[in-house]
Amino acid sequence: MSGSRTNKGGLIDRNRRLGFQFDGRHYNGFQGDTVASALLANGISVIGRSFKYHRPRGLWGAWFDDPNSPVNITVNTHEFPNCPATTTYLEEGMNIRSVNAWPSAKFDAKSALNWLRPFLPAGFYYKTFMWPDWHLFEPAIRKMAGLGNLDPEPVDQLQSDQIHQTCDVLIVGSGPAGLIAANAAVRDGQSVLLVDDHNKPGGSAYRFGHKLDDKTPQDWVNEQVRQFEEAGGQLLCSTTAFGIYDHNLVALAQFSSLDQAPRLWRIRAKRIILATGAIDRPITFTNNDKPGIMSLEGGLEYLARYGVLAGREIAILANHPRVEMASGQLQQAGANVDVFDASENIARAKGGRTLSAIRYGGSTYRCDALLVSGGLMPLVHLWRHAGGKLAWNEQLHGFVPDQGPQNINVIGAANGTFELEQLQAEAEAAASASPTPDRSKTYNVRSLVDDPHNKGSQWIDFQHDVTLKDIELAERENYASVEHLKRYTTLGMASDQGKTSNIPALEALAKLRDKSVPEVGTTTFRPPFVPVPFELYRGTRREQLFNPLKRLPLEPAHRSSGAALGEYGGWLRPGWYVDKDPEKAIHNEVIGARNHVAISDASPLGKIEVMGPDAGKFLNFVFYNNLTTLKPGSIRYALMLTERGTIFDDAVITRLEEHRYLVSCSSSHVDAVRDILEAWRQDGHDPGRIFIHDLTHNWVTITVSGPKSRQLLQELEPGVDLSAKAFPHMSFRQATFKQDPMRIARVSFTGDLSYELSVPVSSGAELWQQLVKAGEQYSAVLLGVEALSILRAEKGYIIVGKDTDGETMPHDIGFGIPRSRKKQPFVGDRSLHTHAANDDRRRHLIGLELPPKSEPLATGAHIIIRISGEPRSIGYVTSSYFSPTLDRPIALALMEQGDSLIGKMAEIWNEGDSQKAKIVNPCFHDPEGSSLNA
Amino acid sequence: MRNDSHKWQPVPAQDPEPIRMGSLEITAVTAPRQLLISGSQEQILNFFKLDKLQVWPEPVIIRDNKSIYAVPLRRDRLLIINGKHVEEGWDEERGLAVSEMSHGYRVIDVSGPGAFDLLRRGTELDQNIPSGSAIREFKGFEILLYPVNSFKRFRLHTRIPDFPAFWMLLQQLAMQTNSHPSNP
Repeated sequence: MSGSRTNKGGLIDRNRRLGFQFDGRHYNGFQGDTVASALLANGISVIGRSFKYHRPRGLWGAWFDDPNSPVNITVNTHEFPNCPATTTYLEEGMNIRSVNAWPSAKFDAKSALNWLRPFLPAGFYYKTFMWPDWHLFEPAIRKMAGLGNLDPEPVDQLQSDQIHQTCDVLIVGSGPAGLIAANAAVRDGQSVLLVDDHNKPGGSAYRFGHKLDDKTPQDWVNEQVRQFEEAGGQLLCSTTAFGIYDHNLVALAQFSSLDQAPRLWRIRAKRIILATGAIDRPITFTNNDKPGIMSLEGGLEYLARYGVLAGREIAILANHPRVEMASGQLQQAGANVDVFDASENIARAKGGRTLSAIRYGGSTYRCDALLVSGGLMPLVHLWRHAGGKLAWNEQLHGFVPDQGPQNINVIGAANGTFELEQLQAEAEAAASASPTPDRSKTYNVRSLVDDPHNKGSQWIDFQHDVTLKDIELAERENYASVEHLKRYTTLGMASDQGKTSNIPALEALAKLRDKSVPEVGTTTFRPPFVPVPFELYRGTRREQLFNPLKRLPLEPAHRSSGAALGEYGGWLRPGWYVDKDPEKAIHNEVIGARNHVAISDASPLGKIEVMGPDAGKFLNFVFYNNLTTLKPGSIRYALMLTERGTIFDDAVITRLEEHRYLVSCSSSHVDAVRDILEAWRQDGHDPGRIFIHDLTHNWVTITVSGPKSRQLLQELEPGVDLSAKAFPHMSFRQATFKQDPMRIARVSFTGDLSYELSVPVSSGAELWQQLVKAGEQYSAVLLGVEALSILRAEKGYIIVGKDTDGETMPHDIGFGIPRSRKKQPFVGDRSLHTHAANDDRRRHLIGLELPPKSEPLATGAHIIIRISGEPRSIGYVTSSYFSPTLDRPIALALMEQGDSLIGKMAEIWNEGDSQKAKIVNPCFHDPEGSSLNA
Repeated sequence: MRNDSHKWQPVPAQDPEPIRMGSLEITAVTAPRQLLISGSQEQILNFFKLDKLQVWPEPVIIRDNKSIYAVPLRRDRLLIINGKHVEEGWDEERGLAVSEMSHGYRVIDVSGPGAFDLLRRGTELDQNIPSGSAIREFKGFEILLYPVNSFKRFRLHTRIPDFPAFWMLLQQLAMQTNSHPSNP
């Protein structure tokens, strides 16, 4: 191909010249050029190399349908990989490098692979590199594979703007059909958003080759846009609709320059009109991948938008009536044009690295460009994203939209309508949501002649080097489903996602299978329609906003006490205090809690109030344990089960008053527990008699735990009798702190005497300060989550999700009574009586005891038995620590039949090492409960 | 087990300084009295002597920082702002569940001609689609959002534990709104 710039025409600004480099050489283009049009105008025919065989590749299309032109572009010192040259607008100073080629696209050292092509058909890798082990070959193959290079330096200054918008009508595509529909809809008083992926509206109007309403295409487009905007319509250019999702949500990517992040628009439209146009279908013939062979519409687009002729001696190979119009435009621009009918004879391209001639009907015709069209294929991708069906149209030899969503219309070329008058009627009908008018089509595509046994390679997927022979091979090996064919050959898996290759491949497969194309079917159309950068999705989700943690109101106090903060269940919480030696700090916290008193921030614990006359009955249904006997002022531990009978969460439930309960669930499950309570409230219960208030974030909860906790609490003078008799374990008292209410719950997660004090957030800091100050005389320690985890494990208390898994049922952890005795129905009841629930080999919670000097077990280590010498896992370690209280390692585990194996030895295996541990009851500390009830 | 303290900007002990950027002003408002009440909407409005409930997009009228108004959360749950003192718990007589929530939400005002443009960067808003709930999902945060007096001032309630991150998010959105205003 020897492309050249015409003296006039196009939408470029010829007064603004832009300099750029390609593969190390300097060139010029104009403002408004794409990288591709600028390269073509400079006579560059080889843009890159194909993925597999490193064959030279030139431009096929002029926009997103081009599979051949990903390039790496450096702008402002940063290199952006795999930018489509056809959709990336040229900027001053761009340094462009071809991909998959070294040292340049024109002379590529790896092009020798092309000579090995006969030995590397589809499936070669799957068959060859299986033996002795794929992993031996993987590094080298991975090194060779892939296009482009990722710049190792991140570009963190890029941040996409993300905006939500609603409208009555969203119109995708501002070609003639889109503009007519947009004006009709906006005149009708509807709020209309019109989007187009080019930087200037007009779509295919410039390629029509004749006047529209007696105006030049440019004037007609300008007039349409002016009318539209004056009537209040909104036009977004450089904006691609790349996906349609549920409930008419359309995702748009608005591009500006390469070194600026695109903007993401989330559009919720009442109606969507798709005027996305059509692209040329390639024709499969020998050597049809040579640089110089281009789609007919691509050739016309380069001429119309950018003033670039694809060649001087142009051949057209096509099978439909647009050829005459195309030929006229090209001749008018100064090219010599020969037209060849693809429905009459088989063509063959000739040349070395690039095209030099076409062989047709026994004669050879010299040409420097061959424009090809096997018919226009409607762009139905967005229609398919929305769940629309397709119908095969014999007249077009392509798929057109069929049945589909009511609020989406497809018009114009995207609907297979190419005649201007009919297109106008269709657009106006769509604008007013009227039925699509019937029409007769004059655009007929004649059947292509082909010869699958023709000598030489006939290319189907230009980027991934899939040939007709590959499809024959796949079919012969019974990869006959179109989905299998795709994966076996990698057809349609290139960056263009099969926009050009799918239909030729489907037709080839249909012929091989002696079926029709609809019988063969299509692969699935999925967003994004064009490649979009990851940044588009990221937006503000970065650094601290990537996964923002909930923050404790007492965090300033923890920081000033030297807390080491970390994530625990979605909250930033103190792991331990004083960071110099974490292990020593945690050890001291445990010892201090057991011997004296510990103060800890338990604010994340759930505080969900359930009120109303049916509150008690409701909670008794939702929770596993019997709550009917819970008296006001009392607390009970309860498990929440899934309907499968497995443990979802645990909680302590306080009956505050006759019709008022407080559910204190585990910290990381608050939102989920609240939602489950809400769901059950509205399912099978009277929501007028039960009300749920999640007040977790209104309160600060501070725990004082340890043998001196009663004395410490007494220092606050809460006005409550704290004696063991008057205020026993698992009971609740209402007190005051300053002027505010203070709730005191005598519950424990450490196994010692313990109180949870809850005050409104505004009083939290003062309560903390007072406790810390008063605690000095009792040798109080601040307790972080790490030490708390050890304390609870010493007592054998579980953390749901750590010491349970998705199969653990309450009787596996020692809570079997409600299952057999609870009379009222409850969530999960039926599932607790299934065969699986009563299987002898269920995993039970057990403790593992190790000798004093040994190392703690690895969490996740397997408990194994050996059958004929072969190990089998019968459980695993869920929690493992060195216990400062016991001065030896301890562990909790889930183990098959663990209950019946107490006292026996178990073999624990981890990453090749095994050791012995004694199976014991999971409660290591104070099994009689004397400390708890002190 | 690791110390990530340095990765997280400390929670400020005081109210943050207002963000003023172009036509935008974002201010942390001193928390008014907030009561969470469930039951019949009519019963609640009668109890607090409120004429009617403003639902999106109707602005809530606030004359001063003592104005009493109701924010709808769901059909049987309201947040009463600056209402009279009511005993917490279950009100058997009226069939109302009452909880103090004054310390549960931080309140933020976003005002100025660019306010709507900022907010639509975080959530889907349509002035033509009414909503009986002020609850919105705003870039992953559950917040309450309603217009105040006009469509140039909006009030947001965010849960206390979410406030530091949410404030940071608003700062970023304000920068984007200011540097790349969109044309709604």
